[in-house]
Amino acid sequence: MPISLRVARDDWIALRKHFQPSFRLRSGLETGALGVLGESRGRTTHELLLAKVLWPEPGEVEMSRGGLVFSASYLRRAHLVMRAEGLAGLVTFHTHPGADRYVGFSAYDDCQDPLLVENLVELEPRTRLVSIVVGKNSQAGRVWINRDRYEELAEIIAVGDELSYYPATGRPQPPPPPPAAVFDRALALTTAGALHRLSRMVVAVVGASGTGSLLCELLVRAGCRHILLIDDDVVLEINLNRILHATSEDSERRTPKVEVLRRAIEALGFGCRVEAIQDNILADETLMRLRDADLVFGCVDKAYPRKLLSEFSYRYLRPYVDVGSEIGGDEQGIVSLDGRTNYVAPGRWCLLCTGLVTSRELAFESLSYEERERVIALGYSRDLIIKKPAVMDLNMRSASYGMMVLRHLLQPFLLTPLPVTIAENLVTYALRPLNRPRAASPECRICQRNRYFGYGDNSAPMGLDRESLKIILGPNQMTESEPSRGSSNEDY
Amino acid sequence: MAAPHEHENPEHDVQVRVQILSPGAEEFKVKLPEAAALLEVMQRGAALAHVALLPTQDAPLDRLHNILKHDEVGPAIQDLDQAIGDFVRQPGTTRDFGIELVLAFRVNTRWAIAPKPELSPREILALPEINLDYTQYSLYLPNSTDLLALDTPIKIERGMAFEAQRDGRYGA
Amino acid sequence: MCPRTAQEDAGRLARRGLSVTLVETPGQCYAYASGIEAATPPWDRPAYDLMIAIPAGYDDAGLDAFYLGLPYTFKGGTHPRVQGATIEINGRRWQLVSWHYPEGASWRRGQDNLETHILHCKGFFFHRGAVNAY
Repeated sequence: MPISLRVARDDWIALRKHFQPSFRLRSGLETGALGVLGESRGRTTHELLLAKVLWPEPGEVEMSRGGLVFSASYLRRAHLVMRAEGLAGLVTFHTHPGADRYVGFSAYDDCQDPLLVENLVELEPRTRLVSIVVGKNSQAGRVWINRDRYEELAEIIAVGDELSYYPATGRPQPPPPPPAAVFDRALALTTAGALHRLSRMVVAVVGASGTGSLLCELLVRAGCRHILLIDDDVVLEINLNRILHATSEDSERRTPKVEVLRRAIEALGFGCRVEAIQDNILADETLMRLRDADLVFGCVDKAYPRKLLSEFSYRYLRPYVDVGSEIGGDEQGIVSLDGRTNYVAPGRWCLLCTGLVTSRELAFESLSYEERERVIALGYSRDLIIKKPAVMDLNMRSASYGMMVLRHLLQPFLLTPLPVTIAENLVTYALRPLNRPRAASPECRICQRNRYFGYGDNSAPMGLDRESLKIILGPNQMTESEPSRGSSNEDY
Repeated sequence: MAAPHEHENPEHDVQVRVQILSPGAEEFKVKLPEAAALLEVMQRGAALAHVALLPTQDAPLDRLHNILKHDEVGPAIQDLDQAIGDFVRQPGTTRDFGIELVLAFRVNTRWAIAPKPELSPREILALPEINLDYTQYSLYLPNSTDLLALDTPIKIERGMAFEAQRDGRYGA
Repeated sequence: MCPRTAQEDAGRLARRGLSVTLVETPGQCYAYASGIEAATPPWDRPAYDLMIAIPAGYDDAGLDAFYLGLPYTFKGGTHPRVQGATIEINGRRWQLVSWHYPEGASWRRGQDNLETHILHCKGFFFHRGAVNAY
């Protein structure tokens, strides 16, 4: 299984800036930095996550034209952090000033790395060492399994306002194969390279109802060939108006929503594989399936799943696009028809800071079923249990914006940076980018001061165990039959 | 040949006495099968004295001595695998044993016996059992980032741990 | 079942000598706060015990309302806000009190916590104005 390194885009930019002096002169000095790593081991992916860059203090890096020495105290400082935090390993970055589009480890590097591996593993047996050599426009990396064996790093994935993939082979990326004719009309928007990338990505769609079903359709027709689809619910008559491909027979049979979409997408004959997971995203076991995804779409309409998906984004350095739509009304009629898209990633605000998820909603959804019933009986939670209207035509708009965000991440084309929220109110014909988070907390433990940023598997579980999930969901596991009082993946 | 002791199985068990070699140490009586290795005498004696053999009880650096006539401490027994029965039947041996707890300490996973009570980091790294180049390794106490000065002596205590960190070197 | 942040909060309060412990029932975590001051009259005694439901998403999820340890009397009878369900925990009966954060002064994520919520609950016994810090 190839191993990749995920980094927050802000960290990658800072590292590249730190390395710049090496490349200003042809005979520049080698320089470098250290980092500590979390790990993400999915069923089909293995990634190391740059949890934190530890910048060198004065005297910690001895730089010269022919080489570089990370002092023992610098390595020690990094290693003690790794050990104290229960992290997976260390990464060393060092530059080769003379290298531009091609870079590789020197014979000296090949001799020295095993000695360092041996030392680090002797001090702490679970230490994984990744060493990366950086050229002006290239990078090569290797993951040391033990002092005698390493695996080449496959690529470096930088996640943030943009999503970038850098080959870690020390060579430029080979040109992409020509895309299939079916995508010919899309090339102006998504070039061959981006299309090729999309065809290799695993895209998770959490929620297979109104917007989720539409997103799956958009993904497959854009060239995605592997969708990880998660929803615990079944088709009922009351949601036939908006689940794409769902039939009356599906509602009679109570076919799982994920099965409806798997059947339909695979029948299109585009070669897209749908992994249909009929389960609740709140379960930690299910949440961890997202480790195999390159990007996550959230098509749920509940606070608790959104909160967990936000946390997942920062802990596992994954891009997360949340889409949703709402119809608002009063006694006089419709006052709003809102489509909304948020993009959550390292360096960006989480859904609590944007105001999409409130503490009150989160509290309501994360009480036990019985406690929640008692709270409802008090009469102060009516707004939280109202069945929200939903129609396919409105859902299409937010699904479309979600897809546009993905296209932009693969091949930037938007003229301004992605805002905090893309919001459209149809009744006023207003499409507006909202650049300020409505409930920003500078101390937010999810997006600003996340203790487990990039820790991946090296931290406590985020989701619920099965027992807790059962207690929170209560007997109404399928929520369409009555107003939602739980946290199913239902999108209204 | 000494007469079999009371309660011993005349064909299988041997009773010995063992103590830690330090002033005022308690003496313990231990009964073991005659085929048991001398190592077991050491292990049982240490357990009774609530002392841990270092680095492990299965391969200790600590030493076992036979206490000869007139309480003279004999040389360290080299072969701890030999059977007790065979050992005590050798002429000049007794059934009295002493455990010498040596000044064992470690650097990373490497154990050594300190040749003197105080050693400098340079001397520690140069010990054959440690064998680390002081120009490429620095010595620290566990969980500390304070570098131990190369030539400043450190009082070694039994069981003490040090951590040696290597420099990271890269180049053309 | 009790969220880690709740355990940290309760531990911090306990180290300051305040009587707050977490109670795990099958399915729900509660914070048990004893000796909450009350004005007498109109309350029948100077201190009450509370139970506060801690949601699994705490402390991003806010706290709301509380359970009052029974029995009680208020002005010789019942209090209109003590109107919710009655439950039994550890052999004692508790009744849900409809005591919420007002509009415009809702739970402040990152600032409010178990301690501030207990202070908020204390306001109930003093007709919304808390006399002393908890």
